[in-house]
Amino acid sequence: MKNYLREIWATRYFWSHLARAELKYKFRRSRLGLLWTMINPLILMLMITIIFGNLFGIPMQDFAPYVFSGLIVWEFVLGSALGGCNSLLMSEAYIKQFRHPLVIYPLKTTLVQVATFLIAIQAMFLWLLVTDPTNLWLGIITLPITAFCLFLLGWPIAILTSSINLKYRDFAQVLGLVMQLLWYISPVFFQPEMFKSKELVALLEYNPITHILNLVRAPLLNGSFPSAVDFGYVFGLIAVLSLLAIWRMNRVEKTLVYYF
Amino acid sequence: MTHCYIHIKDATLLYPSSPYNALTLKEEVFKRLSLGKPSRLVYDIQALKQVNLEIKEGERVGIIGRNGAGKSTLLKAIAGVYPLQTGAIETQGKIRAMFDLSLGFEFEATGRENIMYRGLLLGESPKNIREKEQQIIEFAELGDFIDFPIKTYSAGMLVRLAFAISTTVSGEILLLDEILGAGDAAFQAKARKRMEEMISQAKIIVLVSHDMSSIRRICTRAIYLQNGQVIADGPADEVAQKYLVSVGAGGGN
Repeated sequence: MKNYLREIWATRYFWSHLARAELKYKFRRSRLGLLWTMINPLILMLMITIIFGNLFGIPMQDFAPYVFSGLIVWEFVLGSALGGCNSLLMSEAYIKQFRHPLVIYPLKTTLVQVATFLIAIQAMFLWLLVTDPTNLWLGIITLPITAFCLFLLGWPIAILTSSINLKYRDFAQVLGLVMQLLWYISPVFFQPEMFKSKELVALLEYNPITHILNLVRAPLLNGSFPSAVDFGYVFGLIAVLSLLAIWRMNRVEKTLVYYF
Repeated sequence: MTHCYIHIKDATLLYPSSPYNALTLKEEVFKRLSLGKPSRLVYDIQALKQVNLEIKEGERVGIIGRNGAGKSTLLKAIAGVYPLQTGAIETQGKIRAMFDLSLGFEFEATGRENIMYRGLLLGESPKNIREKEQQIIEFAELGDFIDFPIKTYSAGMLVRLAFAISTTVSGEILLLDEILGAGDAAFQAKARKRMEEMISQAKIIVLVSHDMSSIRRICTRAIYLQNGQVIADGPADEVAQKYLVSVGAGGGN
């Protein structure tokens, strides 16, 4: 384990460069470049706010930041899980030529996702600055902690999905369906008050996505630190996912090269 | 100063059949439930069988044999890309493997960025690569094209760039899959010279080749592989001769 971590560190120039390059090429061919990362959730937010805000009768200035924070966190989770699926598959050329630890490729995907999140949340800060800047400072203070938690969540997720997807090529489709289901039972844009039945509220309570969302929402929307329960859920999930990822890589790291 | 070496002990390498027997989650689930037609299974391919080799510093080893004998597999096992089923390969020294040079290029990126890319992949630090950058560009004769995305390059330009980058970063143990030539006649002469410099600097060379004349010219020792087993090991001239006779290409030269 110690040696393995040392090997990851030894290749740091390579994976950090891969991450930077991916961010760069993602936007090279569009005129707006990195701005797309901010505009994309902004437009989605406006659509959802207008449609559902009217449907449920929620005032825009309350609903918009709620939806926005939901979307950018959800994008991160989705990007790590579904985007992670391809991280090993797309690195075939490297994996077949060099003996680098395989987890550096999911690591690259996660770093790109964290960077995307950090760019997208700037648009949220901007929105709050214009509408209601009272909670902004708390949001900025807690951002490093939030980003670090997301990183620790995203990496094992991407390791798991990429290694499974390499073995079963239809895994991404199945996972897409699972994520769709998760989206409907998570308060990404539904507000807890909208859930009527007791079972659904309980489901929301035990859903770790709720607590990941709270990492961003508690400071920005309520002006408070995320609760101990939120951190408990998040770190619990990090521990479980990390153990799963370590167990999985222990088992398959050596044979994955044959699955290309 | 430690001596470089490659010790291969009882190396057995199987290409597992499992990647080809269960390709999708759907198939896996159906198999577990014993639904669906049982598909015909393919079997593990034994690419290396009980290979024992000791390669010491200063040796230049050629690996010869027919297609599918396990030559490239052995090379990739030494490089650590393919794990062994049983046995062990121990190496001492910085390994530099040159398999498929144009693999892993980023086509949207410029030539200059790709130099950085590949250099980092080869384990260099950014500072080192920036120092060598100008030298690589000059050697590849790319001129102003270096700042164009490499998807605009011709095949020859791509090969020249790949060759220039790969041969700039050296190592103590050099693993080569076929002697590399690149580009037009003028560039080929230059490439050959660069290649020979690399070979003379490396402490151990392992070269896979079908070209017996380059084996004889470069190597001091040759290993003849057949069906994943070593069937001859000795001075390059003798083993190359034996190989030519056995494949019916006749003796002569």
